[in-house]
Amino acid sequence: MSRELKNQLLILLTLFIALYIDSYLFSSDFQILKPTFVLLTLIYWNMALPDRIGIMAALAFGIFVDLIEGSLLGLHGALFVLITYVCQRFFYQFRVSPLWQQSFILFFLFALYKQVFALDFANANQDITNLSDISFLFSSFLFALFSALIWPPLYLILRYYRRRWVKS
Amino acid sequence: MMRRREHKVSYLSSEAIFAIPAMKPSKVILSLLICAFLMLSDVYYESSSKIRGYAQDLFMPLGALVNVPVDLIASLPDSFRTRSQLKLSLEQAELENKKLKVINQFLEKVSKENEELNSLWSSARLNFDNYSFARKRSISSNEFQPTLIVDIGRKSDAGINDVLLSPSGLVGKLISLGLYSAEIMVLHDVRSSIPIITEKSKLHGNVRGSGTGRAGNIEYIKKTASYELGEKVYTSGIAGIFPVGIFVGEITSIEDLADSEFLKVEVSFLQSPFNQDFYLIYKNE
Repeated sequence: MSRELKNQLLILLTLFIALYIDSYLFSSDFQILKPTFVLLTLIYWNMALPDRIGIMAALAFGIFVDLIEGSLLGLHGALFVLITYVCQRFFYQFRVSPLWQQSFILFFLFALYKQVFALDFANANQDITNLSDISFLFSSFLFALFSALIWPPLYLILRYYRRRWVKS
Repeated sequence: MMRRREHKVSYLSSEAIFAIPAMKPSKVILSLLICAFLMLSDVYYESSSKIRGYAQDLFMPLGALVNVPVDLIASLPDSFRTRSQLKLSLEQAELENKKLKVINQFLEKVSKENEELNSLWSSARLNFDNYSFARKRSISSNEFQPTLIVDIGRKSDAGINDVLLSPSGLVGKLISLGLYSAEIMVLHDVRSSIPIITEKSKLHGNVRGSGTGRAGNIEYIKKTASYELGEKVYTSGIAGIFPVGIFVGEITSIEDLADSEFLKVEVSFLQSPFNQDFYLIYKNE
């Protein structure tokens, strides 16, 4: 097996493990707040090895998440593609920043990401204005906070994995 | 060996410039167009409902894998037990078994009495052939569109729009079906609308979900309607999807808002899809 293919498979393996963690059923309170590990892992690989991960991986895993989560088909796909693009565009700036700064940026990114799910794309319930829902904003804040807090350990784990297994 | 796309050549000095080329915007736009197409086809034609059930079948091994660490942790203490400790726990289990047998004898008496009442009740409104079991696999973290995934048997004759029930009442309806899995739209979903009738005032309406942990709303209720707080709400059977008389929730708030031409009536769903492992699928006739 060529090294290039082996690296691709090793990267995909981490994304599948993240998908596995995402599909884990946590307690009801934590279920809404749990970070999206697939997206965090995707951000890491976009930052660490931007030439090894492509837009197709982002799109495919986005659609996988859509199918698992039961959300509007293509919604996670579009978000993952956009975030992948932003990460690839600014990865030089992002990867030299200290971990706490990266977490800080991710906090805002994930807070925005969560807001998209409040939009009523199917016009299912005209009476609800989700963006003015205080409890949703609070849970979005907690979701972004958890994602930002989980970033440093996840970063260190994936960095160790990359240095140990994914040879360039 | 260096790959071709890992560097560019400077026009001035002919030296290699090591830079990773940025992602092509055309690829991003194409991917976004694919996503937009998928979203629109899902919104207008509910295209995903045809494949979601089968996709859940594909992800089933992932669901099985999820339980591996929990089972491993649960079985770990047994690995460190000595033979005498295991023997002792076996003796205790045997004793428990004897106790349970005695209790069962008493229960048999009670159940015989209940059987008569049950048969009367069931003959009046239920056909047990219409029921099948389902087991919870996962629930999505989407706050406004929480989707419950359940395992159904390979030979289950469940169909789209069949109803999912729990001992506490209505849970939702089946929106997508695979070979082994089914996707359920729960009551809390903002897309969910259930025809209801109230217990005391006997008023009809539609309960609309508002998301996980939020009370539902009875839609388009005239201000002259006389609902009562604490009144129980049941399915009315109108539209023929949900059977008549299944418990939905309880009225927890009635507000007469000055800027609205309708009453704001909130219904709290007592059934949380998270707190249950097994369900019944009711095949509507």
